[in-house]
Parts: sequence; C-alpha cells; structure tokens
Amino acid sequence: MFEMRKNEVYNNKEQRMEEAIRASEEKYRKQFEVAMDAIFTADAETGIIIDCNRAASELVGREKSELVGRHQRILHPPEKTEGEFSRTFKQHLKEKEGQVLETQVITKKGEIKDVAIKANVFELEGKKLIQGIFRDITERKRMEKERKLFEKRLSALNKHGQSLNMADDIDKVSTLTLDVMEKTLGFEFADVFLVEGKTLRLVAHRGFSKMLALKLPLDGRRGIVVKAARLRKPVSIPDIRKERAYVEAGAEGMLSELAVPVKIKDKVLGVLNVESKRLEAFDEKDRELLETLASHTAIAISNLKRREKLSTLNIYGRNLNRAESLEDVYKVTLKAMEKTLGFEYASIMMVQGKMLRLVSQRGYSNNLSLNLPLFGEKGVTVKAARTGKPIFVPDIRKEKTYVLGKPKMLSELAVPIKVEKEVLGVLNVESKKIAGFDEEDRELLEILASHAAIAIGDTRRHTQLRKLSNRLANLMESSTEIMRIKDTHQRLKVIAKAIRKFGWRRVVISLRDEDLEGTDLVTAGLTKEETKLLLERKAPGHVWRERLGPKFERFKKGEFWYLPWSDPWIREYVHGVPREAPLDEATTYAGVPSRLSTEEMVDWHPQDMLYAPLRTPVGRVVGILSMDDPVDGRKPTSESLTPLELFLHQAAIVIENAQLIESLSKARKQLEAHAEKLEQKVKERTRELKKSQEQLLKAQRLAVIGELAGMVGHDLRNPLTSINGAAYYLKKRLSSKIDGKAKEMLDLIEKNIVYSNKIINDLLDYSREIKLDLTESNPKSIVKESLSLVEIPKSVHVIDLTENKPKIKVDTAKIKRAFVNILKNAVEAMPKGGTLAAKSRKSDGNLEFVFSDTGVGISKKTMDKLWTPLFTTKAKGMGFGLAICKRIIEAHGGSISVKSARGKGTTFNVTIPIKQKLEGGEKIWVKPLESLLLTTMKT
Amino acid sequence: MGETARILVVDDDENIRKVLTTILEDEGYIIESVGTAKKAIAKTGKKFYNLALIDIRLPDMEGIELLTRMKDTTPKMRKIIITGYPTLQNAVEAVNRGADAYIIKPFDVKKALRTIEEELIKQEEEKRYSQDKVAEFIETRVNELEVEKKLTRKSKP
Repeated sequence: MFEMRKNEVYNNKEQRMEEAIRASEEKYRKQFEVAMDAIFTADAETGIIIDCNRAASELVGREKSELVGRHQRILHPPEKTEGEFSRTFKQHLKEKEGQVLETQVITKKGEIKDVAIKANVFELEGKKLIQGIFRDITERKRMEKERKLFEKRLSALNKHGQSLNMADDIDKVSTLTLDVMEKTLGFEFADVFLVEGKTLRLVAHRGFSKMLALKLPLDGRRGIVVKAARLRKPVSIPDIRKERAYVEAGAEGMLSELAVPVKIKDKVLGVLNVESKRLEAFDEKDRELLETLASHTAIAISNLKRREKLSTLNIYGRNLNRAESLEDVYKVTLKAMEKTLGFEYASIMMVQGKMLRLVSQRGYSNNLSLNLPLFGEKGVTVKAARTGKPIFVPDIRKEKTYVLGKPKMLSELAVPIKVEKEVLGVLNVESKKIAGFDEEDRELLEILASHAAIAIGDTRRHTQLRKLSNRLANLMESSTEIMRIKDTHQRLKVIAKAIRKFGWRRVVISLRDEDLEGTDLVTAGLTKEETKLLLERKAPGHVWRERLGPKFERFKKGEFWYLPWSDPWIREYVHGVPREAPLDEATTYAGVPSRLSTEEMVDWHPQDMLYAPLRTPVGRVVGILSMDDPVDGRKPTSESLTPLELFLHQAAIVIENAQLIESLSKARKQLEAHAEKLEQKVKERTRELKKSQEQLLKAQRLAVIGELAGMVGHDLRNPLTSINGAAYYLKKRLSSKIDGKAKEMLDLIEKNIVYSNKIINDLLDYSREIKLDLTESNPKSIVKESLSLVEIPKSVHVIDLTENKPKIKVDTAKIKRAFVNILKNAVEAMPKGGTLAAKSRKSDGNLEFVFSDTGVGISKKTMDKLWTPLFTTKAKGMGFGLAICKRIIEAHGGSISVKSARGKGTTFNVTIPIKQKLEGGEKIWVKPLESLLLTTMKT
Repeated sequence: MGETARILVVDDDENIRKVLTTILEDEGYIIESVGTAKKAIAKTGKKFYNLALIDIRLPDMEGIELLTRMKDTTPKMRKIIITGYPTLQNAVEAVNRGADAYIIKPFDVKKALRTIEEELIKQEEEKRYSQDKVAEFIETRVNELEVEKKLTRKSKP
C-alpha cells in the first residue's frame, strides 16, 4: 500500500498540491468575493486597480468592469489625492504592514463616504501589489460627528447649568434657558412654559415673530406641552398635523414639536418646548439634551423659588418681629403659610393646658373649632405636638388619627412650634392631593415654625412684661386707691382684687388676733355661699400657728407657704387623708372646694393650699392671706410670688393701721368720755366748791362771829369774876345788915353772873372747833348718863329702850351734852307731863338714836330755823343748844333730824356712823386761833 | 393749923386782884398779889407762900410756864390755876406742869374757897408727913447705928 501510495502519493501529492492550491485559491477567491469589507487590489507601482470585490464595487457604486484597469485615483474625491495617487495610497506604500488610514471615497454618483483603509503590500508573480481593505466608516464617522456635537452641546449645557444657578429671577432663567436652547442646542423655535397654579403659562420664546399669550389649563386637552406636563414625560410629535392637541402658538408652518417637562423629582415646574418646520425634526439626542436642560432649569427654578420662599420667610420673620400680640403672630404666620409657601389650607394649633386648640386658620370654614386632648389619639397635629417632630401623612385615608378639618383633604403635614424642648403649638397644612407635600415644604414649614416659636416666645414675654407692668401699675393704683379709702374692709378688698389681677381667681384675707383666731374676713372672687362655707370651716388659731411653724418650713416659697396635694405628708397631716388613699379619689374637707376643672389645671391641684402671714414691721401677725384657683392653672413659683410680697406688707400695714386707728379712736373716745366726766366732775366740784365756798363764807362769817364772840366772852369772864367775887363778899359781909330785898338783889346779881357765864360758854362752845375725844361706849350707857344729867319731873314718863350694843367710839362728854340738850328740850316741851322715849338701833353701818316726846311739837316756822344758832323759842337761853348739838353730831360724821307734829309730839333722830370718818362740817369750820385771840385781847 | 397761910394772887386784872384779896383776907389768910409773872417769881423767891393763885394768861408769860418756873424754885408751894379757858388739854398740861388744882373763871367763890382750903390741908399733911418722915428716918437711923454699934462691939473680942 504504502509503496503504491508513495507513488500515488507522490503523484497525488502533486495533484493534491495543485488541488490544494486550486482549492485554497478558490476559497480565497470566495472569501475575497463575499467579504464584507471592500477589497481593492492595485498595482503598487502603477496604481492601477487589478481586482476588487463585490463590496468594493458596492462601496463606490461602480461595476467591477468599471474599476479594474482604472487608476485607483478614481476611488477618492479629488481633494484626497495628491498628484497621481491618493494620499493614503502613498502613505500605505510607505508603510509596509497593516496601517489603517482614514480617508474618503467617492461613488459614481458623487456621494462621499468615509472609509478606513487597511493596506498590505505584497508580491505576487513578480509584481508588487497593494491590497487595500476599505471599510465604510461613514456611519461611524457620522455618529462620531454627532457625538462630538452632542458633547459640545452637553458641555455648553453644563456651563449653562452653572450660569443658571446664578440667575436670580425666573425671567433670567427663562432667558438663559432659551439662549441655550437656541444657540447651543440649535433649536430654532423654542419656548419656555411655567406651571402657575393650575395652568401652564408661556413665559418666554425664541424664534417666533409673534406669540400668543398662552395660558393652558393643566387639566385640559390643549397643548402638547400640557400633555408633557401631565405625563411628566417628554412628548415628541413628529407630525403635528396628526396631533389634535397641537396649539398653534405663534408661527405657522410648524410641523414637529418636542416638549420636555421641567421637573424636580416628580413635581413639574414647567415645560421646555421646541418646534421645527421640518417633520421629525427632533430625535432622541434632542430629547436627551432638552431633558438635561430641563433638569438644570428645574433645579434653577426650584432654587429660585426656594430662595424666594426663603427671602419671603425672612420678610415674614421681620413682620413677625413687629407683631404685638399672639393674634398678630398667628395672622402673619398664616399669611406666610398661604401666600408665601403656597399652602392653601393652613392652620395653627396652640397648646393650652392639656389641650391642643385651633387658634387660627386659612382656607377652612370660619366656625371650625378644634380642641384636642394632648394625650389623646386624635389628630395628626397632636402626634406632632407630642413627639416634637414633624409628621407627614401622604395619604390620610391610611391614617387612623386623622381629624377631619375639611372634606376632600388627602394629605397633611404637621410641624411643631418648639422653643428648645417645649412644644408651644403646631403648624398644620393640608392638601387635596395625595402626598401633596415634600421635603422642601417640611423644611420651609419648619423654618416658619421656628420663627413663629421665637415670635410667640417674644410675644409671650411681651405679654408677660406688659402684664407685669400692668400689675405694677395696678399695684400703684391700688396703693393710691388705698390711700383714698379710709375703711379697712374696703382697703383690704382693693388689695384682694389686685391680687386677683395677678392671676388668682380666689383671694381671702383674714384678720387675726394674737392667738391667730380669725376676727374678720375679706374675700375677692368668692360667692356668698363659698364665703359662708369658709367661715364655717375655718381652722382654729393653734392650727394656723402650726402651719406657720417649723413643721411646715420646707413648704415655704419666699414669704408664702405652698402645700401641694401631691405631697403625701400634706395629704395625711393637713387634710387627714390616709397615705394609701388613691390621689384622684381622695377628697378633703379642709378649705372650700375649688371651681377649677381638671382641664384648666396644668400642675396646680384644686386641693393645693397657698397662704402667707401678714406681718407688721415688728413681726406681729395680724392676718393671713390665702389664694387659690390660678388662672393659668399652674402652681406658684418664686417669680410668680415675689411681686405679691408687696401686697403682704401693704395688707399688714393696712390692718395695723386700722387697729391703731381703732385704738386711737377708742382712746379718743375714752379721752372724750374722761373729759366729759372730768367736766362733770369739775362742774360738780365747782358746785361743791361753791357750796363749800358758801359754807365757808357762812362759816367764816360765823367764825368771825364766833371769834368775836369768843373774844368778847373771854374778855367778859374777868369782869364777871370780879362782879361775882364782889357780890359774894357783899353778901357775906352785909347779910346781917341788909334786908331781904337787898339780899335778893345780891342773889340776883350772882344768878345773872351765872347766866352770863352760861351765855359766854355757849358762845365759846359754838365758836370753838370740836375736837373729838373718842372713847368706847354703848348706846345704853350714853343715854342713861345723859338722862341722869337732866332734871326730869315726875310728870314725865321715861321709856329707855336703848340697847347695849353695838359698841361705838364717840366723844361721850360731847354726845352727852348734845343728848342732854335734846332731852331738856323734850322735857320743856311737856310742861304738863308726857312720855319721853329713847331708843337705839343699828342700821347699816350706823347707830341710830331716837328720842321722842309727846310734847307740844314744833311749828313749821320754827322747824325751818331750828338749827340756826341764836334762835330760840325759849324765854331764856340764847339758842345755841341745838346748833351745838348738830355740830357735835356732825363732828362725829353723823346726822340729826327732827319730825314733829303740833300738839302731838316731836321725835329727834340722831344717826352716828359706827366707824368714825371725822368728815363733814368740821373741815370747813375755821379754827379760831387761840393765839390770835390772845393778841386781839391785848391790844 | 398753926401758922396762917400765905397766899399769892397772880392776875393781871386789877379788879380780880382786889376782889380776891378782899375775900381771902376776910377768910383770914395773908394775901399778896402781883400782876405779872416776873413779879410773882421775884416774890416767891424772897418769901415763902403756902399757896399761889395763878391766872393762866399773864401779860409777860403763860401761866403754865410760870408754873414750871415756880415748881423749880418753890416746890412746896401749892399752886392753883385760874383760867377762863376751860379745856381738858389745858387742865392736863397744868397738872403735868405742877398745878395742884384748877379753877375756872368765873368761879363759884364758895367752891373756890373750899379748894384753897383743901390744898392747904394737903400741904399741912405733906409737911407733917415729911416731918414725920424725917423724924422717922432719924429714929431709924439712930436705931440702925445703935445696932451696928452693938454688933461691932460684939465682934471685937
């Protein structure tokens, strides 16, 4: 086999080689023919085309027959040739291997195509050949060109974007955008639409000679731009004649349109629109470029808007600063929310106590009122207030807590108004669209909220300051008022009312004595029933003493004591409620129940107690002030209590003044009474003095008389002695020598001398001061002795009923004398006999003697003059007897009186006090000085 | 009584002096009278009087004082005060000062004479008493001395 094959092979080899060559040649030829790239083979030296493939002839649009044998020159446009050969040909020849050069070919029809040629030079059968593979790169070239253009436009766009950012108003933005659209992007007819409310408005255009003022409703059918805005997608209309929505804006002859929405996220701000007089004038690239531009514009516009909004917010901020009241703040804030930020349905809720209340709103009905509990479940606003964070509800239908403000609302944004951590209120906006608010809205609203918070805080401070200055003005007013009012009650009422103005609904001022027992009460803000209840329930003095004492020291706030219900010790000790009793259910009967409702209270409990003592400057407690039911529902702080301390002092001083005035007026009254009494006394005394003066005069007169009498009496005694002696001698010596008549005469002389002496004695007695020589005696013995000294005739019957008791100290001699006188008178009154009775009895502190006779009695005329000295009815006697009697008895401090009836009898009543006072007439009697008499006698 | 009593009347009233002198002389007394205290003192200094009637009011001295003076010089003389001012005080004082009796003007003459008499008797008695006393004393003393003498002799062996 092998051998055979060898030959065969050798023959086959040759054959096969030839076959192979032929096969490969065939293959090669096929490949050559069907190659996609155009292949030209040309003589390297002559440049004559030897061969070309189908692709080649297609490339240049000539038949092979037209190409083979022609110079390669004909393949290229003239400008690409350099002399005889094309440039690339030449170049290719220079290089040996695989160089790819770009050039252009020209077809039979004259069409220019870009090609890339890869050429190889090789030798075949002794000829130098050059084979060039021509690839049509027209497309690529075009694309490249396009890309370059695109890039150029894009870079221009980006530059535009930067300059856009510096645009400070919409017009500039529009202008710049149009500039780009026209000049950079090469759109001949361009316009810019902006969304305004529910319409799309044409704001700027280029290329149109005249333009209609276009304002297309966004929910309408007119306008490709509207469609783009609504769809939020670019809309390209290659043939506007087929588009119903087309609106002829300004120029005729437009055939295609491209509208690209200017949007940020999903919000459409406007539409960029380009038109062309050509059909299908805009392609993807245009759309892309426009979209990029649109996004830049969108950013620019939204930035502008944002800046606008921010600047408006700043204006708002400034307006807020000028707000003078909370209502102003609400108004300004709402205006900003509505006009500046574009929130149509806006409301402001404020925290009041434990509730969140609607204070102001725009866009809702006027009588909308909302008052939501802060710890409740209702209200998106409540949620915001509680959490202190903005709450955004994109679809309220999914929100449980949604509270209906107005129907058809679909989304809500609530932003809390905070000052540091304290939530003052909530700004709330609603929209009829779902997810009608975005981050920007929240941000803006938060800025607004913070402005509002500051403003509210300021306003509150202002209000507080004004309140404080009002209160101070009230204080001054009340002080002035107090000065005008004189009545203590009224004054205290003024103070109580002033304290009310400081925010306490009920004020009680109680006046207290040293034991802290209530003496009086002044109230303000209490009903009659409450006052009555208070009086019934008031605690005793010692309880109050304790309440002001060390046990309660820790509850002091300045000069006030605040006893909170929340403290268990207070509940137990003061109110008597056991510690275990639950706070809410425990009640107390101390004090008067509060009128506060639970909602009104913030941290003050109705059972809290607040009081302060009213102390005078020396520290004495004159009253107690207590208040409750604060208007703001808050418990007192040092700041809220300090201004009231002024009232404490005022009230204390008022009370002290009142007390002083009272004691003063009392003293004055006493003084007046005294003065009156004094006057009376003076009058009395004057009367007495007058009387005593009279008496004195009388006495003086009498004394003078007495003196005189005394003097005369004394002087008379000596001559009387002489006469007496002489008469005696005569009688003795001459008795035998004289007759009876003469003797009688001498007797007469003697008797008369005795009588004269008696008169002198009586006179002297009467004129002399009575000095009492007191000795103890008893009525019986006095009367008995007196009786013994009187000559009682047998015809007179004596009844002595005097008693031994009581013992009495008298000047017995003198008393006897007096009694003797009385008895003698009695006897003399009964010349024909009768009865003489003597009695004694004790009455009160006096000893009474009664002497009665059955004699002739005393006439009225005589009665009047009975006690007068020198008066007598008797034939004998000067009539000193009874006068001396009276003097003696009066000297003992006693009295003598007489009763008589003519023809029936006389009764003498002598009363002597058992205890000697030694007053009376004796004092007034003038003592005749013995020395004086002596002197007068000698001269 | 042995000797006749000598009475001194001291009164500034001449009439009274005359009347008293007349009456008393008639009774048998020896009477001398003066009108002033000074004279009275002089007189009593020279002579002895049994009794003096002294008016309580003398121009140059109170009778009471005169009493005192006289008491010193003439203790034995009886003194009777005559006065027109009968007060207890005066009486007490007079007695304290040395008066032996008290007479009130105008006096019952008879009574007054009786008083004088009584005083003189008292004086006599006193005198006698004192005489007796002296005699007794002497006697006693003598006896005592005798006794002593006897005793001393006895004790001297």
